[in-house]
Amino acid sequence: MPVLTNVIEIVAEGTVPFTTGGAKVIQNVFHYQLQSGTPQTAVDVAQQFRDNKWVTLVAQLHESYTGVGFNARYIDDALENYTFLASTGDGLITGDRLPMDMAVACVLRCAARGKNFRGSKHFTPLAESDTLKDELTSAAAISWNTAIQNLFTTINLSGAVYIPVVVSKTLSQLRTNPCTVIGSPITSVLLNKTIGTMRRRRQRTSR
Amino acid sequence: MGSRLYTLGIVTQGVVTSSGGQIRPVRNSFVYYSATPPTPFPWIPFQLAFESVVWSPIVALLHSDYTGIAYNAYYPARFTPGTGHLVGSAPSGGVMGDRLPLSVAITVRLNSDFRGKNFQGLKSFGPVAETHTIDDELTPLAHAQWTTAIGNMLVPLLDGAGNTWHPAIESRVLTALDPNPLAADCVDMTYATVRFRLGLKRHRRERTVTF
Repeated sequence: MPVLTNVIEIVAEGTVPFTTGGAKVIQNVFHYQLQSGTPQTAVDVAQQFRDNKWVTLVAQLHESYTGVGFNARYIDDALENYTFLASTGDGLITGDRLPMDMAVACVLRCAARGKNFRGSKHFTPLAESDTLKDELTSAAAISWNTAIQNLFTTINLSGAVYIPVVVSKTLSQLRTNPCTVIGSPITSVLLNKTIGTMRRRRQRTSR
Repeated sequence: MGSRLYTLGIVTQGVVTSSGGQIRPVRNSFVYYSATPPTPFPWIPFQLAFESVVWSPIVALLHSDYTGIAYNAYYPARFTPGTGHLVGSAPSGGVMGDRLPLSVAITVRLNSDFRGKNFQGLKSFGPVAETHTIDDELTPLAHAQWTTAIGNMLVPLLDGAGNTWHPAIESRVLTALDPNPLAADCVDMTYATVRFRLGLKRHRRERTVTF
């Protein structure tokens, strides 16, 4: 099984207000592995991620999304704490939005076989103007695809190159040192035109 | 508890064409019971009564992508063995404009005077028009319209032979466990509440289309 080292976890965090008041915290988690060069600090890598990758994606989200920040750390060391980096990006698309549990979904594929080496990401909230019935509009699909493809490219920082990976939480041992990180580099990203669901993000029942 | 010998079900059948061209079936089922042994009756008057009282007000609030096909009325096998009766053609949705994805639905909680999950129910109606919603919820106007339409689900229906059919919540679990194979465990549906929050009906969603 592919054992990874120098794997950094970046958690992008934001909030969206519910219709009835209160807000939902939205988190998207990404993993990058050092491919070459010397390891950089987690916060520096997160800053590079924020400025070159997340900024293009967050622009596709509905304006109700308010960025909070990024938490980053190397998951090779179970004792390392997250480092916080403030967000600079909010959603930009105006107009009405879809319910919170409707999301743009993409599939992540790796060279290694098996369900432990596949992944998916769900991005929400979505603007109604980006969708037509069950799917993204053609224009929205193109811009979402551009943002997603950009998200899963390498991060280059001071000679170090980080590549996006899928980490298997089932096969890895991340609770105590020495940690074992099992995963595989992402080889392709596929955007679903069909609107996906992310039930944990839905608003609580109101009658 | 709630053991009934004379029950019937009616399923509304319709389809929605998804953005990718797939034909997705949308069904909603309703259960009724008669307190007394019913005299034989023709299906058509019952179907017409169901359509005019219950289904037409509901379907008028669905998005126009919904195309009604037919009603499938049946006696549960424990009452009179036999197949379903396809009766009539069902009306189609009446609200124009854009719609939400098929997996979004208007959720209605059904309650009876009995406690326990066996005597509660849930109905999910879709497709939902965008004009009926704001963010995660129904607009107040749409909620009022849906509440009015759903109230008709509590009305007893008359068939052509003078039998009265009461709306019911049937427990499939208790019915299966009932030692009397002829009885169905169902109770009077006494409350139907439309939720403000939009619900999910994932079985209905379009199969994945990739970019």
